[in-house]
Amino acid sequence: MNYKPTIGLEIHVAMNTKSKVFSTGAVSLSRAPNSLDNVYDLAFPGVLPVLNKQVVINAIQVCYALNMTIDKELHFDRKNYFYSDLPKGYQITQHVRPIGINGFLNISLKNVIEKVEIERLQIEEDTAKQIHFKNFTLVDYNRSGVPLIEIVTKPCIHSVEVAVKFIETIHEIITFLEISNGKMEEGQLRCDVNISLSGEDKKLGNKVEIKNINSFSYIKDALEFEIKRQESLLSNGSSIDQETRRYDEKNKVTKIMRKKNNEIDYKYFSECNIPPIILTDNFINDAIKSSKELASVKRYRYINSYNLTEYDANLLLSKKEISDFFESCVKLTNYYKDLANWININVLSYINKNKISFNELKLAPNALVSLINDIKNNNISRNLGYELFSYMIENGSSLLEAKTALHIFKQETNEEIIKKLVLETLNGNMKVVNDYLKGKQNAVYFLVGKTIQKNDKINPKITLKIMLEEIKKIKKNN
Amino acid sequence: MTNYLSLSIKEIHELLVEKKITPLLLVNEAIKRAENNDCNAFEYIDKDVFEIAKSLVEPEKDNLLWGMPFVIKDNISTKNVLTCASSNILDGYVPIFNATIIDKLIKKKAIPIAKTTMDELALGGSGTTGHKGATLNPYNNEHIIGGSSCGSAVAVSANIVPFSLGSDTGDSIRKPASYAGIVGFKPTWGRISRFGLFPFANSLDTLGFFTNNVEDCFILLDATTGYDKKDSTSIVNKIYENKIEIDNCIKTAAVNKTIRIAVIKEIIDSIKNKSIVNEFKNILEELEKIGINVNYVSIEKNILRTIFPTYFIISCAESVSNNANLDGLRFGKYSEAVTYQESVLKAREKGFSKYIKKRFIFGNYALLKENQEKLYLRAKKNRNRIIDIFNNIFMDNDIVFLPASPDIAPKINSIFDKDYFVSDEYLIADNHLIISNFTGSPSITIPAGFFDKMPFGFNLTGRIFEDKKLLNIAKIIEDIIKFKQKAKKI
Repeated sequence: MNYKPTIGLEIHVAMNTKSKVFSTGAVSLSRAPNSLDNVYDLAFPGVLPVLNKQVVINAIQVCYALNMTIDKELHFDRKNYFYSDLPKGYQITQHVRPIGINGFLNISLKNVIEKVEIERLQIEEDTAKQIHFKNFTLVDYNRSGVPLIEIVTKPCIHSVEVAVKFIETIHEIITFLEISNGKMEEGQLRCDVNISLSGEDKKLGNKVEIKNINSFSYIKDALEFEIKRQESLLSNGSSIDQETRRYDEKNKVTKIMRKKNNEIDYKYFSECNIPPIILTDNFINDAIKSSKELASVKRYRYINSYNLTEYDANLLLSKKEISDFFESCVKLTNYYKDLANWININVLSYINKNKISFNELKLAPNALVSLINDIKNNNISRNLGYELFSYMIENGSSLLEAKTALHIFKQETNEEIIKKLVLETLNGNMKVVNDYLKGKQNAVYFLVGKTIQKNDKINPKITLKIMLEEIKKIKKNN
Repeated sequence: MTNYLSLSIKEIHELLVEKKITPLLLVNEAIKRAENNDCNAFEYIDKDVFEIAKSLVEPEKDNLLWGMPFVIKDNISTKNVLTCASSNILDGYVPIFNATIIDKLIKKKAIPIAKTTMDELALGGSGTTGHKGATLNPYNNEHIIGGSSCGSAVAVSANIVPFSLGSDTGDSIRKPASYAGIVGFKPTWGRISRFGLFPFANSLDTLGFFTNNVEDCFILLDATTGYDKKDSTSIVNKIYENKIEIDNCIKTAAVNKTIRIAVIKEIIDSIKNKSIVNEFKNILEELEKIGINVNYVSIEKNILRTIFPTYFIISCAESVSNNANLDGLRFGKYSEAVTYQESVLKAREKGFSKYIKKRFIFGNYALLKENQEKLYLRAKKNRNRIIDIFNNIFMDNDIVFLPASPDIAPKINSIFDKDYFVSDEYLIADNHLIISNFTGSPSITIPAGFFDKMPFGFNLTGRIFEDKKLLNIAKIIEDIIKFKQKAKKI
């Protein structure tokens, strides 16, 4: 029997604003644990939440990218529960009136467009980070109060591939809007998935929620495992319990956390420390106008204005930082295709080999562009280009600095000088010339090489051209 | 020696400016009186302030609060000074920041000398539930002073300081003011930043003052009002930031018959103490004589009876959430245990009194998914209904004027039978002050008279943001009542 999965997603995105959502505490993930504490984020008695304007701007930009209706009034609620990572004993969220509702995202998968409907987008605050050890747990309040947006889809996804692709697209949107660094391994994008199976009667089965998965591959694995688990239960005539599970990455299985009847009652009620905030049309429009360019817009430009292949465009857009590097180079050159190749092949392989990020990359955009221009203008050979590239990327030097260091200066293109050297070579290698005349085509490259040995700055192409002309003369004279 | 501390802020200020007295002398006297007081009014007396008092040498002529000693309710955050809201769960808690109201008063060089007792976490109205036990009425130690701002009421009533800070969620300033024979003022919600006030029920909580007279409330509101970027609910609109001062026009207005005062008939009818009612009616006559319009208005008793239950549901619900941060982990009293859960459980089990736990259970119950609609949300709806009724009254009236309580302060060990708590005397006459917390209105209790040698007060409530008008009318009534003369006869 065939079962059809129905999947809904809840995605949490941590923002990269300067300060927290309701306090002036700094947002920074690299700082020592508990070094950024603010009385609000530690929930000292008497503190009050003050909404961060940038968080609202960011949320509006995501709402717009997800084609959502934006609420003109902001309302906040309290979600009450006790937990060691929640200092106030409640989380401020937007339960009743989320800032965004009724959105959608068209995602293309194997050239088929799939529409994923989005129910809501809400602003809320993150909890403290817990680091569990065998006998104790450490709490880092640096994360307490970091702004989050939660994006909730309708249960409208029917394949694992679409689910994963949707999350990838969300990741692309939030990183290209620059509202989040999107580092999943640091929990900056994490996902709860809801899944239920329906049989031939098309009735939806009980819903199982898998909480807090923080990698694309885990999401895929968890969904696949869960579908198989439910299928085999249903095939055996068992029923699916409505429950909350978690994904165990080591054993690649989902494990039960709690049954439905143990669900927490969060006792939501409205947060009266933040009065309703009116969002004017101007404010919303300005927020949208100040949005950074989305990957989908860039992709269109790369393919249609720069004539890149879809493959190349996608590779450049696979990470925000790659695209950023491309953008800063592309302003300086018209050799788009060459630029894309150099970045996608040479720069990326350097990055991967050395396990560094683009932030740590020493190569300056104008250095790379000058190199590409030089090669295209035949000022230097491609092989020399690779050598210069290696030097520049390693040392962060300009093209000129690299040339100086490698003793490569402007090529000799004076035909008279080159002709003199060519004639010297020919005179000393008549045997090879004869070989060439007898049909050994490659012999000419040997002769060019011999000539370049005399002066390694002479232009190889011009040398070849003169070499062929001179051999032709010899042939005639014979 | 004269007790300068019983004088008005302006009188003390003049003596300071003339250098007849010094801040050090005032602080010395205030601390001595605080230490000798036997009403259980203080959580902590801060003797470090002698140094501050000594440093104040040259009087600031235009700064009425310069060198003025005052005391602070213990639920207001004071940097480096113990603040435990009279609860064991906050034993030993020394805040690292000042409430905005404290910063403003310190900037004016007023001198905070002590933290005062209160009902634990402000969740009470008797002044008997703090962790140091009952706070007593200085007029007669057998009587309560009322709460939750009990210690701050004692401090002004017993002439220990010229003014004190309190907080008012139901009637926590204005009821004790009535029992203590002093002025108790709760400004419009949002007028004074709540940053640093330990929340009880934040949609109702308001900081305010106890003083010896209405004029002092002008001075204090002027010094502490204003938008605070740390409190999103503090008033942003500049219109409301006009300097607050005594307005002689109002007196003219009274003569021109443009002031209209509403008296709610059903509330007067629910008061059993006829002396209080008679005194109230006498004052009404006096007011009419000087040209103020007095209008009897009516609100159905059935609606008035819902005030207290509505308040109780909303305040308990908000308080259980507001106090969820008290777990002994990051501040306050830590409880040694193996797991986080055990530690928090232990801290809260030991840290809260039975009375607090009852309210938390009730608040939680009202918020449960299955109960919210019929309890919490219904209470909020009813709150809005009451606000509408009051706004209607304010369409035709400037002020609602009523006795602040149906009787003088009860005796500490007086036992009320169960029927009392469902009587109109309790539900209507003893709890109507809550209405101005529902609406956010400014509201002031002024001392009115004595019964059995114990004081009682009258209350005035105005339109939101019309604090100035309210205080002006209160000043007119204060002048008519002449409480100080009555007090001398006692």
